Amino acid sequence: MTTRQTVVVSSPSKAVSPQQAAPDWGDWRSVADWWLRPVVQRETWAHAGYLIAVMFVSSVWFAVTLIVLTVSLLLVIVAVGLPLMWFAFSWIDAMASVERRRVRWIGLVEIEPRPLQRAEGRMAHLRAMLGDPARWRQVAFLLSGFVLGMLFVLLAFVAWAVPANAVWNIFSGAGLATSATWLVFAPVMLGAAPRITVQLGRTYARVAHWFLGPDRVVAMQDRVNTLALQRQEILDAVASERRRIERNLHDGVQQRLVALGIDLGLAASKLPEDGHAAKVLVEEAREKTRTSIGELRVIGRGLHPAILEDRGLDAALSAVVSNAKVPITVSVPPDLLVPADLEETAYFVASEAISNIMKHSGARTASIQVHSDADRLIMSIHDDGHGGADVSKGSGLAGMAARVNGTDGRFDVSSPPGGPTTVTVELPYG
Amino acid sequence: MAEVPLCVIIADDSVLLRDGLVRLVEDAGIDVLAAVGDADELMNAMAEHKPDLVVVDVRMPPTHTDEGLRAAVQIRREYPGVAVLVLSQYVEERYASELLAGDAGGVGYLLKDRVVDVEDFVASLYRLAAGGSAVDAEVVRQILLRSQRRSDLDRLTPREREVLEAMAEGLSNAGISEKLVISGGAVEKHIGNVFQKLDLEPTDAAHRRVLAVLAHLGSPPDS
Repeated sequence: MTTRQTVVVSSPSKAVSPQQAAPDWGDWRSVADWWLRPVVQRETWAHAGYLIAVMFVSSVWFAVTLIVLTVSLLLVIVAVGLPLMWFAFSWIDAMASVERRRVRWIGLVEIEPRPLQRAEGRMAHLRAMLGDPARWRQVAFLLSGFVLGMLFVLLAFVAWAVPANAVWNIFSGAGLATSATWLVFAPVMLGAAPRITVQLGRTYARVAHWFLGPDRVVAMQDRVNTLALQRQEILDAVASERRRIERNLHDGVQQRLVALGIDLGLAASKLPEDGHAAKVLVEEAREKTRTSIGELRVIGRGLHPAILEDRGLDAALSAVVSNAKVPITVSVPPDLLVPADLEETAYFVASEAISNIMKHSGARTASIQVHSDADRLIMSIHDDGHGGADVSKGSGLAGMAARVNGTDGRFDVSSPPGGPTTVTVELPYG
Repeated sequence: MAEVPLCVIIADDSVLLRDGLVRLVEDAGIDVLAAVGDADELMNAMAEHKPDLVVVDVRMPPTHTDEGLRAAVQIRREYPGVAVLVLSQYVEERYASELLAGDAGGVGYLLKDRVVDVEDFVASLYRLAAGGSAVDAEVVRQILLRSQRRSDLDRLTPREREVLEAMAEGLSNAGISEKLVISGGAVEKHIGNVFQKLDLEPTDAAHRRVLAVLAHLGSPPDS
């Protein structure tokens, strides 16, 4: 199935921290409020939680990674190691995936995974995993993340220890001098600790992103490749459409016009002696003219459906459907407002799909449903025919897929043998 | 000319046009032995019947490219006595040269539109069956345009060019005089001039003349 996802080139976005207004330096209350407010802010405790979890989670990651890798590496000597290796990497993938998701705790977008290499067949897949730099990056993170994590947790602990100790001293009856000294530092450190915590949490997430997130250059490259492919598909689609139109003109209208010419030529030569025969020929010529006009209208509609522009998608689809030999329902939201090119693509796909249904499916009923959400137009075309449609077989489906891909959209066909068939199209706005 | 009874096979994938052609040809008193829709059927019909002439469309199923042309070339090879008229939607100089390679006698290449000029079309059928040729004026014009012998052509007077074009289409002297509305003597005089200016050996057989002219125009100038 020709489908594609949009690769979003993401970067570790800044956590959304409430912007603190600068304090009024003349007023000590204002200064104290500004300095100490982070202590009670949600963001601080989210980061603290994130770091505390690092302490536990990263030790588990470290241990599991180390054990599964070492064990399977050692056992590679006896053949058992290879399947174990397979398990090891599945574990590693899963742990990395948890770690990617965990950054959501501190208000970041889940880290998008680096594309992992896969292959058909167990051995091939194993080989792909072993040679996959992205997987070794995961291993590197799971191991080094522990060391880094422990260091960060320690730093955060120290930062909080100063104010905590001050409180402790008072209640534990330490000497006045000691308590006083600690009390001087305590407010300073109490304001600093949350800031340090947040920075440490963010840094850890950034490191995770570096190890586990997508390589921006690679992502860009992928995007460029996709665009190049799309471009080629558009060009191909245009070319095949032109061929189709040419064929329609050649096989239909042009032949009919020549035949019409023959009728008229014969009529002219008969006119002097056999007026009646000539009249019959002229009548036939007129009939051919009428048919040609109809054919030209159909071809023109294939080129650019005027009704689409004048009356919108609902009317245009209804017009297509009205020519079909089986009942097809059309449902389009009345307030649909989509860009003209998407409307045209949707119309094209629907027309093609209907002509496929008529030609191949043996369906008794069909339906077209269009709806839209905030950022895309979704259309599904369903029929109760005998299924078995395949993009690689029918040029019609391939043409539709190419056309949809050209808009950066998604094209899906579900058509099990025996039916039913559903073609789903998603066309993103702009 | 129309006294000789003719029998033809017609091959065109468009039912409409095939019927039109059959009607046209039968109306002119020509027997239609078979009317077929693709090259295979055509070759079968050829094996079965003994036509004087075959009318064949260039584009036919399955690929709609040049099946008809290939069938025509094959017929020329396997049934040397049968005249072939290839009908085409477009002017294709390449098709023409492929078809006319060797001997232009009994070979025709016409644009489909010519069918509409019923009398001319029927006349070219008879001409072909008699061993003459029929090259579409449009094809001739293209060959003249592309000819690398511009300097030779430039030496011709406009009238001589018209005569040259008519010759290349396969018209006989009488045909030329009728088409251009000039006397037979004038035609002969112009033809003599053309051959002299182009350094061609004069020949009377119309179809050999076609070949000579086309071959000459298509070849690069002598150094």
